Amino acid sequence: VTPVSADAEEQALIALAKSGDQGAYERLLEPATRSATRLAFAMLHDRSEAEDAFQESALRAWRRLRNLRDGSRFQPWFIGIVANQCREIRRGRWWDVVRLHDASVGQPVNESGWFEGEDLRRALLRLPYDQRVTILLHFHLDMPLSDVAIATGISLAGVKTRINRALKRLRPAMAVSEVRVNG
Amino acid sequence: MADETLRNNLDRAFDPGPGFPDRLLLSRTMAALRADFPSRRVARNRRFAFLLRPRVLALVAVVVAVAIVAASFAFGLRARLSPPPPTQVKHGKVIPRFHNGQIVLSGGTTLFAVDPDTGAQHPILSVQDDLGSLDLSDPVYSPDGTKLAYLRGPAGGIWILDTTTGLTRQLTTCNVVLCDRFSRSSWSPDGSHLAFSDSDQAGGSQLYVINADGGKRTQLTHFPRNQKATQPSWSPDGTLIAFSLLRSSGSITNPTYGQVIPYASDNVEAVRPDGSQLSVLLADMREQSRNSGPGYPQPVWSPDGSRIAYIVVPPSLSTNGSDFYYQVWLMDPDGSHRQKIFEDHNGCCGPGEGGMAWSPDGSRITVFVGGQGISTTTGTLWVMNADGSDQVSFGHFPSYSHPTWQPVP
Repeated sequence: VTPVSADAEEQALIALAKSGDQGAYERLLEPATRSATRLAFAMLHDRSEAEDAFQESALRAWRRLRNLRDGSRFQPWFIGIVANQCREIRRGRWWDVVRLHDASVGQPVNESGWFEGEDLRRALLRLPYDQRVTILLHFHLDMPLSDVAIATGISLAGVKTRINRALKRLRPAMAVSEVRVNG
Repeated sequence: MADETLRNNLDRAFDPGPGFPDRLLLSRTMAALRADFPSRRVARNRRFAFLLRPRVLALVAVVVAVAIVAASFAFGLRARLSPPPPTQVKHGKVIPRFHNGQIVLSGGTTLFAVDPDTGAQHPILSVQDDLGSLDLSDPVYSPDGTKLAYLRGPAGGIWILDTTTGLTRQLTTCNVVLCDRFSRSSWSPDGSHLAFSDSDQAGGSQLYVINADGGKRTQLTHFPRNQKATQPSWSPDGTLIAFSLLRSSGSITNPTYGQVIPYASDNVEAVRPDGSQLSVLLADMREQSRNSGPGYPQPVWSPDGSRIAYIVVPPSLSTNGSDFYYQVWLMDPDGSHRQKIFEDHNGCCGPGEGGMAWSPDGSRITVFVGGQGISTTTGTLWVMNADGSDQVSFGHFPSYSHPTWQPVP
């Protein structure tokens, strides 16, 4: 029996999904769910809005599945759609004051850790959207830079530049003096 | 090690807590997907498959063309869609004549100019921003083209660039953190005042007028918190200020997915510059605009005052695979004679990420449609005649906000 590689299996699922197989699409979506919802929560600071964003993105991706090029991987492509969806939701409430306190849903490890997180949240909110997404994809979702490039639709060099610029702006809010960008 | 620290800090900062995501999220999502796709879509495609035959397509095209020409002559649409040359005097006030200069867009910490004929671009203002988060947006040229008002966000307020000296100055501050893109200011026809939107003490969004030299602002509107007045546009005769009124009101069921979602019904309204005589020009755009969030009508008065352009972003309902159409419509100042002149089928990511501007002589219109495709950073700039004909598009510009077209004496 010839072993089927993960890539080949994913491509087979993508082909099936493109032909209308919803079961195959669900299998593609399943491993992306955690990353997608984590990104959505980090962008929106609201659990229910994050789940709504995931759901809307999944429906949107299903409709656009034929736009996914042959040989491309599903997850970074889908994460890019989630990021766009989150941006749209944020635009939709652009006049509202950001509810920073709502972001404090998680349990802080300790008091200093909480303030650290709050500072980081505020600093991230002040970043331009593109830089904020890039930081979250690479450092929060642990996506490799090549996947970040796919999700954001820019080159690998562009991703590195964007991350370096973001880190430069974030540095005062971080408890670290230097962060290295790894491929 | 250091990047591990950042990862840990991010994990703590964005910990959603236990039970997230809901374990039924994926199954709920698939159920919503099955409720709508693909059965209906396939059935629809089969039913209308005969329309794709070349002969049928050609016949339909000929019939439509004949009908449009006939309707144009019968109802005088042609004459109405071609705006008359800008008048010198209207309602006793002089409307200056200007020629068309460059188009200006914003992108990050840069304002850049675009040649409307070639698409060539060059920066006109770049702000050094090492540690902060500056974001220049919403540029608007003064009526004589010598000044450019823009937002310096977040929370940076409205600034003015003197295009003759290159100097910038802050005109006013903003009350809230998100005094941000898309609120758009508008100059009075004589360039002496600026109308803009900002939050009031109660957290609502109101219209204000301020002297272009600075000083105290005057509040024009007093809407409740769930009604946001924004995107003012001063009429060329100076008597009215049209604006978008975004109203968060209740929820509806999305016809596509069956979800119950909040919606905002948007109006285009107008008010006198002294805050009196509030009037509705275009009521409840919910039927026209997308139904999953606030729209951005962005009314913009034509230079001769005869028409108002506005944005409509209806959902495409998967008819062509993209999510939203991005449309520009024209109407008379009383809300009548609405006419769609532009539609972009590729807009994907949000109604606010774009906008339009008239050329100073009123003969052309430029439309920026942002956030296209998977890329979140670029959009397309369109230039066309004021009746929507001769549409030309230029590249992918790193911008989110609406364009402005420089008047040249």
